Amino acid sequence: MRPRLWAPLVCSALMALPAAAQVSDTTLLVAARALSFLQHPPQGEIIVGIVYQPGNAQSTLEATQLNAMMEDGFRAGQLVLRPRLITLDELAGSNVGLYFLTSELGHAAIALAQLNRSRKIPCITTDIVQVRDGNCAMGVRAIPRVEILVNRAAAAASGMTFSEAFRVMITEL
Amino acid sequence: MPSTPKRCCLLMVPVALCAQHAAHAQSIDYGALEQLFQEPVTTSATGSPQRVTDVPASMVIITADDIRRSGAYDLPGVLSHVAGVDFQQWTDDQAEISVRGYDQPYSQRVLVLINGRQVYADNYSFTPWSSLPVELADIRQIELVKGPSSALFGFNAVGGVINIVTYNPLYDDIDTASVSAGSQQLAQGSATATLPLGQLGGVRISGGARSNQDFPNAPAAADSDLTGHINQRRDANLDGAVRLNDSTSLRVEASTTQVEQNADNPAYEYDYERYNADSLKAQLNSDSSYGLLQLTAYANRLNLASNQGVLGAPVNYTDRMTVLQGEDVFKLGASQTFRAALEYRHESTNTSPIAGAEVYYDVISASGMWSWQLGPTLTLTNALRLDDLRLGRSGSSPAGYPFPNSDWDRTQQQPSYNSGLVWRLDDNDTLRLLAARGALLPNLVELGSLLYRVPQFGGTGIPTLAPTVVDNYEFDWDRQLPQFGARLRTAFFYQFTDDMISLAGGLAAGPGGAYFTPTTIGDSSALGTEISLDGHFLEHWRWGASLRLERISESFTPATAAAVGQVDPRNETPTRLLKLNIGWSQGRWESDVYLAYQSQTAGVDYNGFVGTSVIVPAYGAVDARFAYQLNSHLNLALSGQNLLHQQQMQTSGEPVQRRWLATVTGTL
Repeated sequence: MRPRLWAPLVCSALMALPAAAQVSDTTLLVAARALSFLQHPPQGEIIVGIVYQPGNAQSTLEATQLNAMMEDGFRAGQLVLRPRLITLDELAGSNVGLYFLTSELGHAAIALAQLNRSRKIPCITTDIVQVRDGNCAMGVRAIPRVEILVNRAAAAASGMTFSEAFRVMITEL
Repeated sequence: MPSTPKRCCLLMVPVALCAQHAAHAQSIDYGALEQLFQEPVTTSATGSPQRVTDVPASMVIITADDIRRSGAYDLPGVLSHVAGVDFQQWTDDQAEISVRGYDQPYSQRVLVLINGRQVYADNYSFTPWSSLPVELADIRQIELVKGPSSALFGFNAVGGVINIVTYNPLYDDIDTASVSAGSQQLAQGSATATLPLGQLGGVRISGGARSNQDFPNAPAAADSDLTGHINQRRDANLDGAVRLNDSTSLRVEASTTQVEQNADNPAYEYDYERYNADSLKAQLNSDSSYGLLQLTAYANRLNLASNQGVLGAPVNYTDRMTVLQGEDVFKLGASQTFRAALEYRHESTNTSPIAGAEVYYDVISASGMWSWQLGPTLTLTNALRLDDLRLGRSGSSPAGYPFPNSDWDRTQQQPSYNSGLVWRLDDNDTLRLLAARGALLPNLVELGSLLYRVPQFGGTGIPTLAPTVVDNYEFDWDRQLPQFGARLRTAFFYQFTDDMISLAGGLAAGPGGAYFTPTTIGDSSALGTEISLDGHFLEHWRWGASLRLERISESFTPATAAAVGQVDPRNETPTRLLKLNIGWSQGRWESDVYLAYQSQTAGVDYNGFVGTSVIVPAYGAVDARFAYQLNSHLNLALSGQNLLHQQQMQTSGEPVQRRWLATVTGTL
């Protein structure tokens, strides 16, 4: 990816929201709907690997919230999301259709980026820093305004190709 | 993710469309994008899909919910509630809509389209609203752009653009029917049915009919053609869309409309008019690695006939328009979005009341748009368009006519632009700095289709008129007020109109005698501000308030200003336009009340040869709707317009009547 001078500014702008509000039903809905604009959108039931760090309170809280939202199946259009909690150590053995990165994984999330180069599994997060660093392809937030940030290089590495109508309406790095 | 989309020549578009197999979406799925971004999405500002809060334009989107809750039974009634929109009711079925003033009979300055197809009539530069082939239930949203938008839409988008977006049978399944009955013997029926074709696509069929008695209380002195006349409207529409492959879809729309109604013509004379309009449109869309490709072809035919016409001679114009368009919207890198487009247009209208000739033009247009995301919160958009017009005339002329056909062999090149800087200061504040230039083309009547002769004199359009050019400069500030569940929108605008045209005022001498002609009468400028607030409170309530303050000045040539009097925007535009609405919905009940107030204006009463100015006192008008949802399929509504008075003077023409309307709507 060619670095963008204003990429840090984008991240700063998108990160300016309360951490506790980062994961909500609306956030998950936005994430799921955004997936429908992939050129090959996932359909039916997919297992979402909720990647978290057990020792980190915020990460664990988000993972718990996400797990609760999806445990009965989170429906968005033709997509039904079902959760699987995955620690960073369990990444290599995970068998999921989508990764959802919780916050505050820090540099440990590099492992996911490396894994994705071979597995081509879409990744979504509310932690915009992970998008900026290329560890996850797509960042979303829902409140107060829906914002979607895509790291083009990370998306290409994980096989995520979006429709042009979607691309012209989001922020890309 | 693919690398940079390939720049492609538009001539290669058909090849590219056929070659696509991999992509998911086809035409813009408004519903899916609106669900994702949780706000309306539009392509009417730049040609590229955008969230309404991101557009480099002053834009209002009227949703299907707004339309339903308006209580209106036609499009102008819906638009009359919108902030900053001028509304003049000349007869029961002729209302004129304008943006930021300059409203008049056969209002010229707002370009109206249905799904991007022009329904504005170039023969008279106006929108015959009753003839628009659309049922209110078919409409997903109405997109209203304030200010010139010629760089995207071409000629005549000088005061604003209204794009009526209907549901797409590729994505939307609408099945509904309604019947209405009301005062003035109003009876109206409307039905829409969608036939899904599985994964292939779908077909929507809709139609409607309306009749009502116009001017039931007109004074005996009024024209006998007006009093108690039964206006009628019928339309039928077919809209089909199919997926050709994973990335490409084809949409075909056909329509026909028949209208008979009282109307006030551009000379401010009442007449009984008939419109017969037909259209056929095909559009190919593809979302591919080449970008959002779109090929469009459509043909319109509008026959306009009037009883009295000119000096008692009926006029009968048939306007034919053929348009071919190709465009590509694509993103280069992470921050640059482009649109490239080519268009060809042929337009012709016969001469009338003296038949035997046809005035026509061909326009070739090239346009481009570049949106550059300068930073995370700052976007600069520039759009440029060049229209190359070739005018012509064929056929015969009366003996002694002052112009040979060769006088129409002229070309005009007209550039237009739109520039907008949008700065999202934070999650609540957005600033827009806008500049635009648009051109209003002299209509075909003014360019020569008008042709009459009596022993003493004649009248004709002329080929030498230049377009009216409108420059607009604007500063907007939008602020979300989450603590109040409200939104503030403000706009400050200055608009300069160069070379306005009046249908009369010139004179051309020929061997057969003199002919009155249209003429350029001078310039005008408008300075104004719009402030609007809207929001929700106590869960079940919604409200809105808007105020437009505007002052128009004119610099007309003394002779035309004194003698013609047909163009008078300074006095016809209210300096204060206030609109308020409040609505409540809970459970099965819904109610909405709308108030419009406008300050004193002066209109023209033109009888024969002399226009006299008529004072129209300041007035307030109230519309309302009360509805009850009987069950999941049936809705009962009682609505009313102009409820404060049995009849009220709102223009220089006949007074507007109070109307009550009861509607039963069934939905599957």
